[in-house]
Amino acid sequence: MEMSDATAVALVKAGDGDAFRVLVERHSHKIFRLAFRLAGNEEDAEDIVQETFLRAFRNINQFDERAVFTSWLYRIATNYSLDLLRIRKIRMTQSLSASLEEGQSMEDRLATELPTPERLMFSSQLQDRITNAMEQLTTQERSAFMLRHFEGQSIEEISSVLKVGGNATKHAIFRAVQKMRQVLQPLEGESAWRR
Amino acid sequence: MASLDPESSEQTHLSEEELVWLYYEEAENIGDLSSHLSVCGQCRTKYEELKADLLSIEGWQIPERSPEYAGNVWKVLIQREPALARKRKAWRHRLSFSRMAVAMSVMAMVCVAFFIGRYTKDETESAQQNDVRQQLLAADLSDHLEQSERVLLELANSEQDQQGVRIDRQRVENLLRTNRLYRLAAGTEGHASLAVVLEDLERILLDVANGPEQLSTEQLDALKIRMDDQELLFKVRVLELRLRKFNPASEESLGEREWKG
Repeated sequence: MEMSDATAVALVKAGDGDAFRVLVERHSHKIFRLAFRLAGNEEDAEDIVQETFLRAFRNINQFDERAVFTSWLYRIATNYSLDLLRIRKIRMTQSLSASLEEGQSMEDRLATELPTPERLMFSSQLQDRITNAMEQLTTQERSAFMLRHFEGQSIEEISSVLKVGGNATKHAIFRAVQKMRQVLQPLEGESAWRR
Repeated sequence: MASLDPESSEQTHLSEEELVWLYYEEAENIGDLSSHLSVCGQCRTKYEELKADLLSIEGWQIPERSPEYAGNVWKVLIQREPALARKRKAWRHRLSFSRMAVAMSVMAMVCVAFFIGRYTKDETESAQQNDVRQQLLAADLSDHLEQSERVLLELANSEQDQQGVRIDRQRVENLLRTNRLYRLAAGTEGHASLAVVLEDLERILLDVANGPEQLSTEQLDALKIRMDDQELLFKVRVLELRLRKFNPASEESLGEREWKG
């Protein structure tokens, strides 16, 4: 019979670090999927997976055994992802400023880095389309949408992770849906035309 | 908010936001919105479009990880955090005399405080009636603790290399019910320390009662660790011994003896 999460956590809390392996083996694929959806690339997703498990191990004594371990792990992963995405955003802004100082126009820069309707129109991969749609979202919109749409978390749970009120969470999800539909809709028109 | 009555002369339709919350089942008035959809073709079309958009996002593929992925993550984690590779020492070697002494003295205080409290609280009743009641209570509770101790001992003494340990769940469930009553009584009477010990015992009994009839080595290890960390077996044993010796008539001397250690 497989060791339950609760048993593994109890063993880890009692000093058996090796028991943590059970938790890593059981949840690393799920955390990777969440991380990839939040970060949008494999490199960051790998980083999030490692950091999530390290933080979970180092803070295992703060975990309330009455709670669900996966929810706690998801919370750690999401919080770390949010931090990472914020850092990425700041770096991107700094990089953009540097380019402008070097003489590259804002229009040129945006033309190479941001998806245009034309680029989307001619993209043959749904993957690319959705990835592009995701890039239109703010960090908060993206996180809230991912947690609701793919992880099925409640508004209350998402609010708790994002540390915002319920209305703000709902607004973020709704804005995410609106933005994604705006990006995806021209493609639907194209696919209908092609048929 | 849209007018939900399709027969209304000023009929409006569901907003995009309402449709979104209907899709995610987060709308406060799901029934009303669904009713409107069932009679309003325009809103139904919009809802189908929304569903199609959101379902298309499901097609977002996540790069597959190999079956070895989790093992690779583990290897990286061990390199970054050496404490992860640490194994726990065998349960039985962790019991030190100092910890036993601490557990015994704590339990002695808990036991005496409980019965002195009970005794003085009922001082308006006749002393004789009260003595009988106290002795019956002490005998009942000590019997219960003795039986619980046997279960704990079976768990604690089972060998690590065995395939598993078979548990008489019916017996554990009976103990659990009795324990719950004693724990509630102790809490109601304000004997928090005693209630805590009984609560610790109850949690172990609950896990055993709700677990499989044949406990795996891992489940057994986890139970042992919890029992060990809580000094549960010793607390139960000491409490039981004190109750066996309990005599309401010599309550004061018992208290003196215990407090002096």
